[in-house]
Amino acid sequence: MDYGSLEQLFGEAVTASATGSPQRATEVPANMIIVTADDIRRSGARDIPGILRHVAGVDVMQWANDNSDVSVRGYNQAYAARTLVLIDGRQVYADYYGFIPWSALPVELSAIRQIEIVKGPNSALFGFNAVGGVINIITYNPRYDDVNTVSVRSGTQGLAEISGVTTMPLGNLGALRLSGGLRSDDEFATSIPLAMAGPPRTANGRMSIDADSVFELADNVEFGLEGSHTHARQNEVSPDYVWQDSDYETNSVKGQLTADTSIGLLKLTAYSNWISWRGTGNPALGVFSQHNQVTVVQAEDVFNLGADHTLRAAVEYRHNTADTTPMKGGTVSYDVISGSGMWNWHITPAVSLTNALRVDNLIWQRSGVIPADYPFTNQDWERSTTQISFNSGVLWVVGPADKLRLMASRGVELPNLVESGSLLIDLPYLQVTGTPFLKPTAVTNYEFAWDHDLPTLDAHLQLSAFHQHTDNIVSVGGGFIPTLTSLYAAPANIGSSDANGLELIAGGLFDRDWRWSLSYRAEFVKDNFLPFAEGGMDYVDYEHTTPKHLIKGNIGWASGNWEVDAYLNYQSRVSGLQTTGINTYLVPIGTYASLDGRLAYRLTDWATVSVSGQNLLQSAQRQTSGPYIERQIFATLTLNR
Amino acid sequence: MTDQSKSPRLGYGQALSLGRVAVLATCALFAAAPVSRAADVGMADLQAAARSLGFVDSLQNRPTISIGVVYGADVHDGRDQATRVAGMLASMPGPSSSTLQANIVATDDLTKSNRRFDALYLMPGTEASGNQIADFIRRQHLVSISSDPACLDGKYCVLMIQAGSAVNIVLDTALASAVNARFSSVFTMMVKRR
Repeated sequence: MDYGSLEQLFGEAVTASATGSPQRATEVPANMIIVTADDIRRSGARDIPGILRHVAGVDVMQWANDNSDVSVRGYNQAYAARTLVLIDGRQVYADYYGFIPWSALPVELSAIRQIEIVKGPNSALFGFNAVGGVINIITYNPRYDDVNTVSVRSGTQGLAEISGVTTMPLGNLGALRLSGGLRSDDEFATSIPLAMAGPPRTANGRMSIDADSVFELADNVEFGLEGSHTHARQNEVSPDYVWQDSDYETNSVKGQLTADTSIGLLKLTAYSNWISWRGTGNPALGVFSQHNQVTVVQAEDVFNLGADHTLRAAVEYRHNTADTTPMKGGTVSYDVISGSGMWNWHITPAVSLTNALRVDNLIWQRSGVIPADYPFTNQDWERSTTQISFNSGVLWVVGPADKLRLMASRGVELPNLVESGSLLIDLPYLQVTGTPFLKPTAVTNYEFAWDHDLPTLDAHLQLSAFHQHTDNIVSVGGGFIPTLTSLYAAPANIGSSDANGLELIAGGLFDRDWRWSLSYRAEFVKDNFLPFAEGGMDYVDYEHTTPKHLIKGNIGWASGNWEVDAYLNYQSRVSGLQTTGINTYLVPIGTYASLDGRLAYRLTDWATVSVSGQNLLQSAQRQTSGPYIERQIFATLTLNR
Repeated sequence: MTDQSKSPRLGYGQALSLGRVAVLATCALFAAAPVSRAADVGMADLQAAARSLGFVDSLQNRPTISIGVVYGADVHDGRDQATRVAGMLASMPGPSSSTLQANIVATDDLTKSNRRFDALYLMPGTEASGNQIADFIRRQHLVSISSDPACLDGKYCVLMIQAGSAVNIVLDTALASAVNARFSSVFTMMVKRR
């Protein structure tokens, strides 16, 4: 899809992340925010979580210099797994756990055209794990976009970074985009809470390279081939709230054939992701390592039916496998076969209805060695489940300035491979295992949104209200399975949770050179957990860890060669989780406000220098139950051609 | 005493009647000679029209796209406004780095002209020649674009494009098919179709 041409034509961002069909951002039947390349540049951020922390309704827990967890509408935690992250439609999270090691994503900020954030479940389009929201990172297409940028950055905490992207033609019928980056920085020097104590801090580092090519095979037939490699080392907080030193290595290969035909827009996609993780947490447990491969094959057709209907039909096959760790010799995997459909009906010129449905059939498997006196056999994994996801939305264009949206959706989050058995500790003093008997977590969301334009003020207002219900929440602890000689700790389904929320977003331009935005989210979560998991005692607590009030504001000025932007984040008092080793407890985190900013000056048409800062109000600030976050300041020189 | 004292004085009712006459006369005048509404065609409308041509299969990868700017022969000031629009079109970049060439042509001359066009931009006020335009684009396999919504009811524009506070594009799928114009699927999914 030529995003640039469509964006120029319609004068607004375009997306395919809401329904799978290309749409104007203002017409999607979903609650979506699009962060443009301009927003990314002006955010002053040096990584994607740094950009997302300015986005209305998005929660970012920064644990360490290069380690953040991101969620949409609360429900955040260490190794947060409710948000599906994709790069150009390819899921990029660490599939064995479903979380995002952001430093290990093979994308440079200057290669990103836009980041699309869909709030609420969108499993009907993207499949499992798109339950809290979807973050789809759209990069520049080498066939349509001409991008040549190099950025050099240096700053506090020993930050040194170089990042670049270039596009080039490959003969008359092809084009290539190459991007890569190198980064190193020191960890914050603030003290690690005793309860989280793990290995000593190490330096963080990141290396990434991505090659993306597109070839025109025939008129309206395009073939894309992409490969990537990343290596990232970072200090982070584990899902059981222990400080750990992690090393990630990822590789991916993706091929995509698209054909614009008389029967619609046909797309065949196949990709494989490999991720290897090596981590040192609790010294008593030694070094963990995890090798995970996911292979996905998708075929879809998006087509018009008459003047008023657009449909999408798709099938998908997914194979996901991980070796057991730290006890080796076993393999846990699953295969998923999915069918999905979307129907967008323009009932009248002002009213459209979109329905999407997806059915996933999943089959678990386990092979290889099992320990002596293990509570399961490999046959216990010979199980299957069928899950249904849906998204429905009505968009009513009430008038030139008003739009109303009504949305309902259901998404499914699978127990990840770690929870399902790839984690296997069999030591004389500690036995931990995953289990094949976990139920998938299901999230149902109901939402109303009203958009109002204020043309006289050059401003826009959005008010939305949502109710979200989550069933079968999984905790990494909580389950205990006795055997003849031992007691295995295992994950367990611990209950449900309900959230009611209200979101107000306003923004606009004034006096030609100024822009502003302000958002407020109120969210009230009620967990209904089993007694042993109440009050944050079992690694999961959403009621006390989701901030009730979240305010974000931005004011920016650009004139001539200068750009100045300031971002304020306010979060009301919450609690965070810390571990005792066998369970967790809540610790208070006070109300805080943080300020980020960027000052930039364009030296020439091709060179810009900027100074950015994060958490500027205090030299160190408590934002999570982990170490305090330090103030960061860095300078960036960007060269464009 | 001045002449003014001898002047007939108009009562309120008489003044109103005269006002009505003036309005009616003005309306009659405009009805007799269609008014150019070319001023309604702005740069944003033309940019959107030019960009839309990039989604027509037959016009992709063309170094030059030739556009006929069609005006009503009987429209007051129509030729001047068409000339202005043609100048604006020729000054803007075409889709995918192509060059736009624009030449004006009166509706009466449309069938007589030997000039070959890749697309037509229809000025407001061409509705009286709608059938003639529709026949022409069918024969020549041309995409016609207008900012005048009346062209949709008249079934002589393939695309109606208005770029106000938001860009509004309506595609006449039947006419597009009749002129053998194929648009990219992405484009057809993002515009209103009828």
